[in-house]
Amino acid sequence: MSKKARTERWLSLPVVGLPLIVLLAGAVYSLSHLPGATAQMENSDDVRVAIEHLRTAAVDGETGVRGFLIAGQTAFLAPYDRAVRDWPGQFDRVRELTSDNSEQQQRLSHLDHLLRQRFEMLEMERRAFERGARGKELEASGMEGKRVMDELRALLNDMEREEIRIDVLRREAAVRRWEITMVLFVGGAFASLVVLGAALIQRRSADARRTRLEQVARAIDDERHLLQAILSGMDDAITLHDRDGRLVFANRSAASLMGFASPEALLAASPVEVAEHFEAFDQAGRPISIDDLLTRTVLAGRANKDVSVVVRTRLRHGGAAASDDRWSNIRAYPILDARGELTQVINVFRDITGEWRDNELRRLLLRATDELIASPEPDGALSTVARLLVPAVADWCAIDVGAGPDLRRMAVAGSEQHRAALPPADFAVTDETDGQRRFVRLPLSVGGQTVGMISLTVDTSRRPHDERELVFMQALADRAALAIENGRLFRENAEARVKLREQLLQETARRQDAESTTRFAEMFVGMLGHDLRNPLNAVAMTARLLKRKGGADEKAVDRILSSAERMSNMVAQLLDLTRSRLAGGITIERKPIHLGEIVNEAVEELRLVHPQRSIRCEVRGDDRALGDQGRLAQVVSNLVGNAVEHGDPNLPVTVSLSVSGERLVLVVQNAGPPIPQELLRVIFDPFRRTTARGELAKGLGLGLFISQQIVLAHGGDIQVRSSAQEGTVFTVSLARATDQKFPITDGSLVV
Amino acid sequence: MAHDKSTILVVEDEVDSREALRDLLELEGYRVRTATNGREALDAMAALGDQLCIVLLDLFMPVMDGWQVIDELRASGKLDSTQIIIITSAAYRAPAGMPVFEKPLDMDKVMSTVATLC
Repeated sequence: MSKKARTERWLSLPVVGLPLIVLLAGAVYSLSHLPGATAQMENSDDVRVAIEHLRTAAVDGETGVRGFLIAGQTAFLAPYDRAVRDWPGQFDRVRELTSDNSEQQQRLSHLDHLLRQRFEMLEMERRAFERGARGKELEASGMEGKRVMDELRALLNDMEREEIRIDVLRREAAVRRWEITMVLFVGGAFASLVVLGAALIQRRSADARRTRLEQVARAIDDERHLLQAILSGMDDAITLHDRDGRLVFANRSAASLMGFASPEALLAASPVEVAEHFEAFDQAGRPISIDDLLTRTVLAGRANKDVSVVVRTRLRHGGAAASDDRWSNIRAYPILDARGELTQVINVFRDITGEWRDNELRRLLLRATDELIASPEPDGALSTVARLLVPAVADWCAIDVGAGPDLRRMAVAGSEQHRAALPPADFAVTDETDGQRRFVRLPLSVGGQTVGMISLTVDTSRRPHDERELVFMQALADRAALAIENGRLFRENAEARVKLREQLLQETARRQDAESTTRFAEMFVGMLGHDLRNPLNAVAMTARLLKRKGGADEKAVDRILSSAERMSNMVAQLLDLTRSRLAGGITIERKPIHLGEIVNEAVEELRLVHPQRSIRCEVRGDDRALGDQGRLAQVVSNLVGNAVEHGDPNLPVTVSLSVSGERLVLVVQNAGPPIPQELLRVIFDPFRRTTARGELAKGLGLGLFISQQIVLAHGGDIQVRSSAQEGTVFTVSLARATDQKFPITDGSLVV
Repeated sequence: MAHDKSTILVVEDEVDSREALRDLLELEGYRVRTATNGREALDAMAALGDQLCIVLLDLFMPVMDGWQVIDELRASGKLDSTQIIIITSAAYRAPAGMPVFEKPLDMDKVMSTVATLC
């Protein structure tokens, strides 16, 4: 319960209860006086009745005596007698009823005197009348009697007024008291309700608080059980130490880790006993005392938060160390109280043996892979791999390379006592055990092809069966297979390279031979050409000299001249062929030219040679180009010459040069039977010895080849088509020169 | 025909060609001097002086070839004032910008060219 709630409760009872009690007391007090007030009011009525009786008595006495005196009959005296008899009783009643009122008492005394006086006077008058007195005597007494009677009446009236006044006052007081009582009652009732409600609420909240407290207590209890259940059932080993380092809690995993059957057994054990069960090492393999574990660090205040460390733990069995090391990542957390002082330390041992083993196997795999890829020839690396496998995952290992009868043992590691007794027959994955040893055989295969196998023996009494290790072995086997295959490929590759190098050398030698042959041929043909030309020159000039001098057989001289010319043409073709085929192409000298002029000149020359033939020539448009004038003239002469030579002699040869876009197009057409397709295909080939008509060519058959070479050297294009309707059409296309600064001057004269 | 600039110098190492060319030119009435190599040609040019009309110059020659002759003339500043026509079996190797007659010589063209120049 909170301080405030307590204060509220402390305040609420007196603060609410005390006024309530006062109110109720007041109400009760008022109520208790209500009957008294009522009695007083009734008393007041009685007083007034009694006063009326007195007045009646006085009047009756007066009236009775007066009647007697007048009538003289005693019958008139009856009211007087009754009044004389009654008034003292009535008087006493008034006196009694007004005993608490001193004023009325005083008036009563006076009234008593007046009443007595009057009744005595009446008695005397009566007696006087009876004695016979009349007239004056009676009159005198009647005067006095009248005065007393008036006084009496006035006094009675005063008394009555007084009683009425008192009655009014009393009634008012009674009403006020009633109102107060009612207010007190209603207020009290309301206050009671409030107090009751408050009390109820308070009681309910107190109940709720109590219920909540109970729930919290239950929840804490439940949570404590849950926590213990969780801690007990957790895989992580958990220990709890008090401020002095004493073990105060351990879960089942902790007991198991430290070699105890149950947490209770561990808690009951002394530190020395614990140390006998269990030893721990740091990452470098140095033994560390249980006292050096994190609890100490935390307790020593060296760590204000949680700390962690990786340790290797090992159980001792009868003093001898078992091989199943466990790796744990221990985290220690301080538990602080509300003042921040350390009360307890929790150690959580996370078992990371699996991860650790995975890492170890991964490192091993990495090392093995490094070994395998370090050398292109994996033979040496396989020994290393075998040695890596044996202490790490197996007790004996052999690696064989090859297949079938060619299987060669490349590497063995481990003690021969573990040598696998498996028949080395098939290459399937094998994983068998004879109860003490596990035999694993993994084929080394690449791309579905087996290149060898790894055989392993694992002493299962020393090593627990670990599926991870088979995965690791398989991964290693795959890499080893790859390395073996790479080695094979490398060897093959090396052999292939040697072969290739030899081939390359041969090829180079052959090419050098060919090149030297080519060079020789070029030189030979060139020299021959040039050397032939000089004597040919001499022959031609001498013949011309003979002709010029006259006297010789002119026809014979002409034959010498024409033969010399034909031979000269053939030498020229040979030299062109040599250049185009063997010396990197026909060289052209690009200069600004007017192709139309070249065409016209060439056509004109042919007309002179063949005067009987019709050659139509049309040149249209801007004929400027960049080219070798002599060479292009050679092309035109060749094409037009062929047309004249092979075309229908009765039909004209047509030559046209026109502009088509950025090109100049030369078309040479002749009528005549078409060139067969098979010949068309090879028409630009050199040394084509047949013509369209099957005749032996006049020259070397190099004309079209050389023309094509010249056109190509100009970046141009030459095409041929032939049909019965159209005859044969050669089309040459060359780039136009459209530059405004195209020079017209002719720099050279080529004949 | 015999005026000042009327002598043609034929520079040719091969005797048959040289003599045939000389005979043909002389038949047409030209005065002809011959040289068998570049060295003789330069000497002859020096000796002829203003009488020289044109030089028909072979390129492949012993002792001094045609290219060397041209280089010498260019070096001595006489190239521009000397009319040279190359006569060669390898026209493509002729120095650029010079008129060339390829062997075997087309004598009609040779004669017409000579006639226009001398």
